[in-house]
Amino acid sequence: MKTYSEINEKIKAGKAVVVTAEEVVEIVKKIGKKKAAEQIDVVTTATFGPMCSSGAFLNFGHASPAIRMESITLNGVPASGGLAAVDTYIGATEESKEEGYEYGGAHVICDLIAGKTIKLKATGKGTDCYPRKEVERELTLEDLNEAYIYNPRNCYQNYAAACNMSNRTLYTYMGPLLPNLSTVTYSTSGTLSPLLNDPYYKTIGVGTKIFLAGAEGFVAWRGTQFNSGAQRDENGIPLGTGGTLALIGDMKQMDPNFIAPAVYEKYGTSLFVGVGIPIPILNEEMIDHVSVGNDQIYTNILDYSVSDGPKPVVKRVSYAELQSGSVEINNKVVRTAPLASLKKAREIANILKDKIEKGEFTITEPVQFFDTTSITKPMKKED
Amino acid sequence: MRTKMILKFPKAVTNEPITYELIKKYDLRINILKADINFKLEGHLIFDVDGNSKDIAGALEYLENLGVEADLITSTINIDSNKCVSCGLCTSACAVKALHLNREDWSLNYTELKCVGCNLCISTCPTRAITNTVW
Ligand code: SF4
Ligand code: SF4
Repeated sequence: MKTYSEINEKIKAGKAVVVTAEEVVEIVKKIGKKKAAEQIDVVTTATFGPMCSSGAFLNFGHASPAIRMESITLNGVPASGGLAAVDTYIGATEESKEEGYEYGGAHVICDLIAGKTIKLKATGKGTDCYPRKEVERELTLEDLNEAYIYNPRNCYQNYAAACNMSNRTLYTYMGPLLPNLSTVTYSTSGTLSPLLNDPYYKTIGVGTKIFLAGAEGFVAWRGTQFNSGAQRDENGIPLGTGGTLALIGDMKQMDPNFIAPAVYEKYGTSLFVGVGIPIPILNEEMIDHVSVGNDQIYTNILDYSVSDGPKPVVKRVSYAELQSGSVEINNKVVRTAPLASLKKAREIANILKDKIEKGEFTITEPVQFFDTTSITKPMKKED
Repeated sequence: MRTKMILKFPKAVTNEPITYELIKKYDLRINILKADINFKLEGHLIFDVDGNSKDIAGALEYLENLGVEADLITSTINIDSNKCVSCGLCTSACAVKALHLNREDWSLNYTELKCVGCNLCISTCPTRAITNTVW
């Protein structure tokens, strides 16, 4: 048994033993769980995948004379006019009025992070306290007071893979799905994925400090569609979607290498977000969780050509099979392709490992823990 | 050697049996990747060519004499490594496995020779890292 403060003292002294969630699988195979739990202090997890439920809060400061911005665009992409005078939220999937989904909210966010100039245009009806009716400005991230990413949902614990049994190409958020069962696409970093390494949310909760696109961010809340009450296998891994996380982090600290706009053909804009989460090895139970390998993590391949009601399960496969490049379905070898970048996820897990080893990144005990009983409801039926 | 050849020819020669000549006279194994004649009756042809280098050189000379602009190219697409995040989604589009993921470091590998110029990867890539460099 180790405590958060004991681990943090080792981190600050530069003596913490930190490994990635990939490395730990091999280490446990070699030295066993007991020794691994004693020796390892922190395991780093990471993911770099597209997440539509992303966006950013921005504050522009007041113009003189002041305006209450009610209709707002940034580089032609509409942003919310539903907050206070010069606050806005720009959603990643919002599309440009001129360019459609080829330039969306995700592009605005990433252009800002890359230091580019963006154009703000806003109008308001004019009030006694905010007399101005129009404003136009060229701005960079530096010109804003606050700019922070808020992901209402990220880090899906588990997510189904997609295929298409119909005879026409389907354009989806899982990428274009070629007809007649030609490809399977999947989105996960597998054994590196944060919530697969802490399936019961024993160390990840509200207030957990994380790596968010190069910045120090935090777990803000449980993510939307938090389905922690999902049925689980013997390793505690949800059979379908499980928990999710809401994340927050300062855009001014972010690195364009770890956040990127994504465009899915005939679907829309999304945002790749790089996330790294450290898991303290408090006890042997945590080692049990982090040592689960890709051959032990399973997900369903669903047929996306069925759009009404639940999509039928075509096959249940392990991530090791998905990552091999092909799976066999109905005696046909079908190629598999990821949506999330394992290369980037590894990079993030290693950066976080490095930072912790150097004493630059400490671990935090959650201020509130998540439940394991929530079930995501469908939309209420029509009366 | 195996390479790709791009031909741009003016109206006057669109009737010439170019492909036939290239096969017959220069013993080239040819696979047409793209053939196109525009409204001005100017033609575009992209071949995958396999033959010995002397014959390919001879073929290029023959085409030049006909007034056809002929160039050898290695690839019809370009992947911007600054934009590519190695997500791997483009490999779902590439039936000939010209695009594939290195299963060691999970970076994207592109084998030019295998590419048949179908362009399916271009619209599949979410970061728009892939562009067509020819047409
Ligand atoms: S789809 Fe685009 S970003 Fe993803 S690996 Fe291919 S070229 Fe790179
Ligand atoms: S153009 Fe077609 S063959 Fe060439 S790499 Fe792209 S998908 Fe593969």
